[in-house]
Amino acid sequence: MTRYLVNLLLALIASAAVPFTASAQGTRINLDLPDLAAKASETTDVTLDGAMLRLAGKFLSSTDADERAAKEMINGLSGIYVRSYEFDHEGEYDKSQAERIRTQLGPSWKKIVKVTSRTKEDVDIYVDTRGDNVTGLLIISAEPKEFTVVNIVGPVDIEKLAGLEGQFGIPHIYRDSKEKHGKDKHHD
Amino acid sequence: MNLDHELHRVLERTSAPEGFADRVLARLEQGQQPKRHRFTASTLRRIAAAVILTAALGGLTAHQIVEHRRTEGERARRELMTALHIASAKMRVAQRAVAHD
Amino acid sequence: MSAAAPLLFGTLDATLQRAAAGDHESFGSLIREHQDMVFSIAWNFLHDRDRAEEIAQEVFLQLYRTLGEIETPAHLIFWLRRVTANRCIDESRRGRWRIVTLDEASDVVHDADETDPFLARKLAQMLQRLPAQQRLAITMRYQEGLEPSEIGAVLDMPLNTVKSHLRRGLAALREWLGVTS
Repeated sequence: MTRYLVNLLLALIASAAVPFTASAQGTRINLDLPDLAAKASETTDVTLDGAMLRLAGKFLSSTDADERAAKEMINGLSGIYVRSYEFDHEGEYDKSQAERIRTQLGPSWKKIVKVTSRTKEDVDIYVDTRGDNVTGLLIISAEPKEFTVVNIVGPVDIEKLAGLEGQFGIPHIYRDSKEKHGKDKHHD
Repeated sequence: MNLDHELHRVLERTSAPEGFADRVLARLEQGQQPKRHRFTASTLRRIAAAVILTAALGGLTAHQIVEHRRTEGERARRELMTALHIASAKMRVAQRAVAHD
Repeated sequence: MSAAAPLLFGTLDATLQRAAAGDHESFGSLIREHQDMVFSIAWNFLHDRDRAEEIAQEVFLQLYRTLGEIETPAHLIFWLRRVTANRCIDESRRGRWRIVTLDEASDVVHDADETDPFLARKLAQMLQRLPAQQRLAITMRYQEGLEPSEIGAVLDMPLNTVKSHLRRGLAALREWLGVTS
């Protein structure tokens, strides 16, 4: 019992340690942007470190397809962090705020995708690597009325993550018609 | 199409099946109980550990600890699904853009 | 009092008390008053009449065991919505999920005139594709007319999470249906 309590206390202390530490798994990025939070009409804030991911995993269903996919996705990850700020009007936030995120990226980070649109959504995707292994992912998305950043720490399967959207709700009718007509009827 | 109007229309309340109340009362009178969720063995072990820890530390009741853990776990699960939805949606935006290049 | 007559809150309090005391006739009145709401939440979530009725029955059986804890008519409605939503979520995780085809989506008849029956069926089908929490939030919003704060209370979710579910669910529906507004 005493050893159990000591181990429990050590685990609690470790979890309360400085959060932004580099590890063999990759680096967590500080996503907090108080200037945006102050102006946003809605904020989505997800902070799931390794312990919370494991806890969440225990409550995921193995019979529900969405949650089964999620369980596979989080296997081995040490953190998922999201900040999404929504605004009532266009132009309410300063897109240059994204630089506060980018300046944290060290040499191990590589930009793999940059999407620039004059009217819609700009998306930058970065991966953190150790040799050939992906150890982290950062997504920065800027829409006219929404700014979202996602940081996943750990060996994230990028293909699987992109494929999740196909499982998280795109209807079969949409997929069927896309395959039938051979083009995406929703222009980006 | 006005989506709000259509959603109100599609999601308006529908009548419960004929005789619904009578069937519920019949089950009541037959002594049928609502289905309960059963704990798995591993969950019971965790509950037992939580109870022992409570006895050692004092404070919360065992029920409160179990309930707190379940609440925290469900909340973590919901947050995880939200996070993965957001991440995969953004990935898909990039994927579509790359596919169109 | 006829089964179709709505119960006034004054008489509902007495009905609640009698039902809690074990009066099955009074409990039957409560069921008939709220059965459409409970069944509709389950139906709109699952789109399976048998499973929706099963859930609705379970909710009322659970209510019977919990009547002593129900304090007011408003509390009763809150309790029914919450328990029905929870049972819907539990049901969706039991692997008996069934993809609704276009033909099957038409077995609910509405009194209102359908200007475009195909569109209504398609929308019903699209709703089934939404993640469970988004579908529930939208059901509570459009079936029950709840404000986001009320939805948060029923589903035990922070307000921002409710708003996010509504926004993302509606955005997905708009995209799938090719709606720009």
